[in-house]
Amino acid sequence: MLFGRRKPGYTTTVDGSDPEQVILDLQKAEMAAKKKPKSEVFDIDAASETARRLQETGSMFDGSAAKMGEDVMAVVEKETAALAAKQAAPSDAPEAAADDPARQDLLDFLAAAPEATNDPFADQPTVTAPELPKLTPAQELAGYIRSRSASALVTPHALLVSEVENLEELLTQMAADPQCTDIVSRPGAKDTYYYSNANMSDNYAMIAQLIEDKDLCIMIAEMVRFNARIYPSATPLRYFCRSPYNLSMEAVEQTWQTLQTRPEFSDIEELTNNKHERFLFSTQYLTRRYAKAISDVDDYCD
Amino acid sequence: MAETYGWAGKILRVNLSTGEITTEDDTQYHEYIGGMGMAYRIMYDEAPMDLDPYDEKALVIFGVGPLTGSGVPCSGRMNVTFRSTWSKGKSIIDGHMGGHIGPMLKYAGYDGIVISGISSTPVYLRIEDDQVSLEDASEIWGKGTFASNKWLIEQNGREFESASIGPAGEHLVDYSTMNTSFGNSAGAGLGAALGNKKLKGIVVRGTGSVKVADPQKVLELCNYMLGNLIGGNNNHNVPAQPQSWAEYSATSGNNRWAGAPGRMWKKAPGGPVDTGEQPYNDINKIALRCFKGYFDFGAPAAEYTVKNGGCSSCPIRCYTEYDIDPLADYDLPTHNSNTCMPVLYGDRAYPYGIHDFKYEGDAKLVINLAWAHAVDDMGLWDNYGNLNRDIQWFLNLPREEALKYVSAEEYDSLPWEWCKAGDPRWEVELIRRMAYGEGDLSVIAKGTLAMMEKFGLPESWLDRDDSATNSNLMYNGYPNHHGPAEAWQVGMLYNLVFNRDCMIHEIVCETGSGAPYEVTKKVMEDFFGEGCYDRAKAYTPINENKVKLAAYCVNDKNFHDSATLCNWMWPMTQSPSKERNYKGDLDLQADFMTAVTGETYTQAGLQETGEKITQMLRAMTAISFQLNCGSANLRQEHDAICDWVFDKEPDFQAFEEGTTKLDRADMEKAKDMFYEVYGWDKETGVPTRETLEKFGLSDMADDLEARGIYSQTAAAE
Repeated sequence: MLFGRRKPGYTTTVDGSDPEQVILDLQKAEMAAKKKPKSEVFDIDAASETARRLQETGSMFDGSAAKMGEDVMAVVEKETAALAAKQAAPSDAPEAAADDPARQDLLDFLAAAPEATNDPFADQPTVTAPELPKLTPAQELAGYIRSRSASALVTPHALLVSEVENLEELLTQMAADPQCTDIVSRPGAKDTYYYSNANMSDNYAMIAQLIEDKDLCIMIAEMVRFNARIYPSATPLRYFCRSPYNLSMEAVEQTWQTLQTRPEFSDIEELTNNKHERFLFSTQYLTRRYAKAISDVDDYCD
Repeated sequence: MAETYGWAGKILRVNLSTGEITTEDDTQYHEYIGGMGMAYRIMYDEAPMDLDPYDEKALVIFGVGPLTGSGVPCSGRMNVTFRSTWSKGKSIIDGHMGGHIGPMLKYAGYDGIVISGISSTPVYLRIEDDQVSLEDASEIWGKGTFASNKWLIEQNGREFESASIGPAGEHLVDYSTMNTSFGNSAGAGLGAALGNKKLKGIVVRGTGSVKVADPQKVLELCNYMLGNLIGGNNNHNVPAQPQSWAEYSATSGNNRWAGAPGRMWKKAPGGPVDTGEQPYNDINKIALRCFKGYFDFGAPAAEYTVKNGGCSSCPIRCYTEYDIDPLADYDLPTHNSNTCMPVLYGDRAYPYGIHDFKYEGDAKLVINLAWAHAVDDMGLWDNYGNLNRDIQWFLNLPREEALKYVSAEEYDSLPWEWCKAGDPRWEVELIRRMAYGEGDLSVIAKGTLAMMEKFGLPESWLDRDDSATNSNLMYNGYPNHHGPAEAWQVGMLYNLVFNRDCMIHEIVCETGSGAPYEVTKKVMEDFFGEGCYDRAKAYTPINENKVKLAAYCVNDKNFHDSATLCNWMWPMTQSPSKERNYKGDLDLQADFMTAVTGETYTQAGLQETGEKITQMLRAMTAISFQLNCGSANLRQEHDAICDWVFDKEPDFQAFEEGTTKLDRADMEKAKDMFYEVYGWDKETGVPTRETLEKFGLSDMADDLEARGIYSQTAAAE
């Protein structure tokens, strides 16, 4: 099984019926995308996805209910129920178009309309997908790592060992393949982790590695030091309760208690800000006085 | 009328005294861009500061600009210029409104509406393309803005956009607004300015469009902006929580790019929506980035959130829309939405505290959304929190002390049981009294200065070091708005310029983002020079680049309110893109101006126009201060800074690590340098003749001279 867990909130739809094929498809799509910087391959038609959906569903939810002071929730619920009923009914859209005189009139009208003149987009060439080369096994492996990175997961070496027979050979080939330069590795305490730096940032890979290493003391201490050094900032204890750490407050508390007993973490200290929120900071990078000051929350306005 | 791109080409003039409605070619105002700039020129030419703000000849000028309705992202704003009745000097002032009504005005064919005169009966202005009329509004006079807007739409049709004043405006309450049906509001006393004219509201339907010179270029710029530059709300360029594509996030877990895995819209139709990850170059997920409710209230916001809403042409959607069902228990509206100050300080009206309603930690959310709906319905403005701060100050007084200011009968008539119980009806009743001007306590809604005068509070009351109840940076009646606490001396300098809170977000968009300091510093210093960008609570003495940055912020904001663009999002100073080293593109707004209008604009040129507007503002401020305060020495009368700014946090020295306090001598030096950058007299802070003439404003220089303003000296004070 080549699939790991999915992060909450990761919204790409994956059809699990043929996972291996899905991986290959994802990899091909990503390689095609890499022909250009991401911002340039944006398809403007996709931007109208919401409009398309509204059109397909026949939604009239355009905010006018709010303007009229009507019950917006009731309108939305009514729309949702109507859509569910429509989706449950047998699909007969082409026949419906033919049977609906008004709609047919509109289609005839559109078909008969003259081509627009001075259309600045008329002479734009139609873009077709490039022919894709057949992938080598090393490139397929890279695609798998890429897809996991896109799902916010690093790929442990141990996982690959369990799935791929000639792993070391493929890793060697992958390292030499110019199509796979985005695949990088990061040594952790217990394993080496692979990720695509096209799909995952280096700092997030650091976080993911610390999570995968499952040493909470190291994870918390390293992130507190990182935040103090880089931002600079103290780190709320609640930081570790949020994604991607998702620790319980009890686990954070217990880890903090343990940290305080170990001399290698003596630079980690606690403070409480003016809103009674607790923070950790590293005295390697922040004085207590300054850490407290920048953790205090001033009233803000818009 | 010559065909133009960007501009609709004409403004509408409505005389409420005579009922006369005319149009005027507005080409002569294009050098001021539109909106604020155009309105300042018209105000100076036609309604001098000598007029009382409620004079029949006083003007209210609605203004949009060439970018409004053009499809440029974050351009759905409308500026409204009129005269202040509540801030020191009673000078020129602006309210600002988002939503959809500004673009609709453009579609109807107008760049602005100049309202003059006073109607004998309540009316509303109906605009349907070139069919413009004044209609009877007596049926909604006295009603709240929600009911009024509903009636206006019912009378005219769903394709109209509407805006209305509420009871506060009708009763000439100085803190009053005009609100759209969606809750977008222009404040600063606009409600009273219109209430005085008996103009209850405006409905607009436009079936035209904004002509764009180079639509292909506009499309390219839009794709470039959305795919490379735009971040979350306030253009924060890192997410609030770690996301797999992002190198950095806000360590606090709280910035205005608050959408994140696990943060849900739990009341979304069809089931909860997880806002998930939003890679910066996935433009189809931009609208999931801003989760303003989560930023304001934390996790409880998720329980009540239906979806995000927002203004025309804006992908950010900063209006969280809630269904606050616990409010039904108090017969209060449950469907609420607001993104601005009304949702932030409602709980300050509860000296005994508030309690959770349905979920752990939801007290502030429920109370504040009840406040937001009530003030929006009454058309009551909060002066960026001064209303709440002054109410909090009064409510925290022991009864015997409070009775120095209001009668025992009035004090005891307040529903204190609701207050002690944390009942949302308490705040609604307070708001109602303020909006109707009932009782002595309602003087709070006439302005901080009016309250001080009535209660006999000395000017030193504004020097108090009590951040909960005093945020006034100067002695002019309006509070800190992203001042020195977020932007060191730069924030103090740009707060000096206006006759209300400055509404400048150029710096807080960076300092509030949560990106590493060194990353943002590099971006800012690349744009504005070495030493311009201080570390949080670790300030350095004033320098030339900080002063230039402050002037840039003022001028840029003025351009935004003229173009119109949303100053919460623009300019594109920073970027979420690692490939760009997180650097934005300050030239983009000029590029959009060029593509939309077909005329060539540069960022330097826009700065010059913005500065011209600043000079007009300063000249008119000097005149109104001479008339209403007896002195046009703005350095002494307008730009004096309250003591607490320098004396707070006594354990720290200015420039020490850990404080945002400023140093008096350093700040006076900063003023000297700021005045020099702007060409203002160092003694008086008034634009010199040479400066005004440089900007083609010799008529204003002549006026200042004729009024004796140039002959005044500091020693004469």
